[in-house]
Amino acid sequence: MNYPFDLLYRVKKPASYIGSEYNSVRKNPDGKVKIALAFPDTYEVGMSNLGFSIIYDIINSREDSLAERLFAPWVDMEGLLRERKIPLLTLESGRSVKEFDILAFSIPYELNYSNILTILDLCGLSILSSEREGLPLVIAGGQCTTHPSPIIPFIDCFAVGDGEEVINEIIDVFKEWKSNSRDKKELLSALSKIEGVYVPGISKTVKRRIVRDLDKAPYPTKPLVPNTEVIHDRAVVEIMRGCTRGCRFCEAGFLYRPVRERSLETIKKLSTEILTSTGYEEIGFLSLSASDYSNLEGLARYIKESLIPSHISVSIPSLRIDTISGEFYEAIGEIKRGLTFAPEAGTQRLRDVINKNITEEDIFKTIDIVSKEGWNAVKLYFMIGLPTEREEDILGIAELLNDIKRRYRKVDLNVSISLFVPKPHTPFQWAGQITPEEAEEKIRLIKKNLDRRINLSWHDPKVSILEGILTRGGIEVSNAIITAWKRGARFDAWTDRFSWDIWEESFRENNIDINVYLRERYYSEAFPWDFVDVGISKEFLWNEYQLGLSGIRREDCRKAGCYNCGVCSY
Amino acid sequence: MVFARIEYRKFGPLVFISHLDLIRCWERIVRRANIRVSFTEGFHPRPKFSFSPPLPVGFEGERELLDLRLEEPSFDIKNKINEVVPYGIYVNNVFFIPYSDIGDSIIGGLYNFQWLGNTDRDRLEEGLKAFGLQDWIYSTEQLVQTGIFNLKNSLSVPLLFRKDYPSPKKIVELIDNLGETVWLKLSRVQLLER
Repeated sequence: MNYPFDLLYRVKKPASYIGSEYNSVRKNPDGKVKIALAFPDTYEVGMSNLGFSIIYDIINSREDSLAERLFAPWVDMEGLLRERKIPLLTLESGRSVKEFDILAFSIPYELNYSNILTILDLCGLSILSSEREGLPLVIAGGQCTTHPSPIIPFIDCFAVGDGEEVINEIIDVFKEWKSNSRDKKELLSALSKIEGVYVPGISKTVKRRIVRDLDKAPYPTKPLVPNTEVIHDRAVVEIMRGCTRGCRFCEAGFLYRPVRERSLETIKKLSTEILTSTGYEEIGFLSLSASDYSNLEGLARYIKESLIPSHISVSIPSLRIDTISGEFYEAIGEIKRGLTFAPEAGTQRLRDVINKNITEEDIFKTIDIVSKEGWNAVKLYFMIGLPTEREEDILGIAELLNDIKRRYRKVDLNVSISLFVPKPHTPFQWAGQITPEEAEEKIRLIKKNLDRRINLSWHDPKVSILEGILTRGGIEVSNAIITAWKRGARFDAWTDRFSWDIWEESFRENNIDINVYLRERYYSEAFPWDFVDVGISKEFLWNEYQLGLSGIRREDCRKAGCYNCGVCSY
Repeated sequence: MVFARIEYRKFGPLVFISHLDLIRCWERIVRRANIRVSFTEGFHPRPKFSFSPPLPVGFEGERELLDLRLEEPSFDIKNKINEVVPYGIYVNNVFFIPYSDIGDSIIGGLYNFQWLGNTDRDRLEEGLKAFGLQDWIYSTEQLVQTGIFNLKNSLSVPLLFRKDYPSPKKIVELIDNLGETVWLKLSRVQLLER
């Protein structure tokens, strides 16, 4: 065991710190490039992250390298580690990160930023890049690297975009450097020459890496089987990357373009191998929009003929139930767990603004299926604070839901309301974000007009404000992150840990005016993420923004023809 | 009908997984080992298992039992399983029985507690008496190392799964309350059969 028995015995979730998963890899470190992969959230969240598992697999498939994992310790564990002066240790060999060559973070979510500092600090490293000498080199990948300014002072170098190829190039450059030099500056300068790598202080711009042929890309066929329940406790096969529906608020919808698919043959082969090597009883077919997978029929047949008879249950997140035929309902696990559906806005006008191509008819069709099949519960997602939103759109959410309830009295409606957060590299990157007070007013309005039998829940508006600042902020925001972390900000994405007071004070102390970050941006304004070229042209995004403001929707470009977003010629 | 009675050890890192985690873990082991077991009916079929009573989190189990209902007898189960277990589970023995009676036959366990600390023997004895416990073995040993926790204590006590007996966690609490304690190892050494 990596930590003393007594320490683990005294924490709430000791199973998060034991490792020893089936398929985990332990290698002799001699002569290898040693990489510690860190995930700035809990074990349960990190072990459900596909990117993290892909990178672990690629590194450990190389004979010259090894990867070991660590996760952000929960606050009770952090307290005990500090009290007993024990550093954070990797799960595989229980070594301290100081013995590694590279510490690589995977950062999918802005609200994890404070945990990055916890991990660096508990590893015995300075939180500031400028104060770290020698190894380990601290690198970062994941969705947040497309707007990394607020965390630039903490990280030595960023890998932007798909990681499958760039991780190998980074290791190769590292090996070459290590055999010739000890000068970290030379290493950083060599790394900056890799496409997709951004080295603060050396690189001027960076282009997002795109794996062109997903079908040939490496994929973990021996994924780790956690010993304790994690968020997605199942086998996963990514069937498709990217989405061209063009929902104007959706970061993933632009950041993962172009759409690339895995062939059905590859999906079958991967599924068989993964199920055999893990013993999982459930498999998830992952994509941003499964309904758009071009061989959905074939996939459904495979599920019905091969998986169901072997007692394997299936989940297909992002599958729209109104797009598939009835005979496959039974095959899909989501339905049992409760169907989810995201109209996002309450009126057709506003759905056109955000380009969410769902009509009222589609919504009723879905509820109708739910009702006829006797599933009895559906979860609906809406956003408030969208561009051009008026009172009638807010009332529209309540009216739509009341209408559903009137017509389908037996169906339980669970409604979740979240705040729109404008995201970089989307058409709405220029849009304003509403204040917590405005948000509370809108939620009150929905509540007042909503049928009492409908269950309504909402995200804390202040969490979304924090997310907005950490997302669209510049390098100056890093000071507030440090202050907040020093005052105890941890796991800000967790409602029981989030403290707006800490953040508000930290912003004030660092002269960060919240309203400056929430406001609508000008056309010509420079963004703190302009140096990251994700392959989508700014002209296209602006044009989409204008179309959105005028309520003009656009069909999926795979059906309606090219709109010149730029990614296909990138 | 045939059952495989699996005698296994739960140790090392896996002492920290809960009973629910352990069940999931065994479901996956059985699938990986490709053993043909009977499944429950329904949409989410699960293998037909019966386990010896749950170990508290943190406790090693030196001889735990699991009865598996088999579709067909399979004689190299032990090797098949040990090839696909995570570190922390190991099968010592498998034998075949015509019926599964774990629920009825196991009535308790012999538990062992090991810790460092200057524990007052009289107060420990008092506490155990208050629980109504008579049969227990306590030993203490001076460790060569210096410092306040230089005494290694060991307590073995049989506990029945009955309301008038304390749970192993209660014994841990009792010892924790006697002064500063650093736990070294907690285990169920054996199951007590009727």
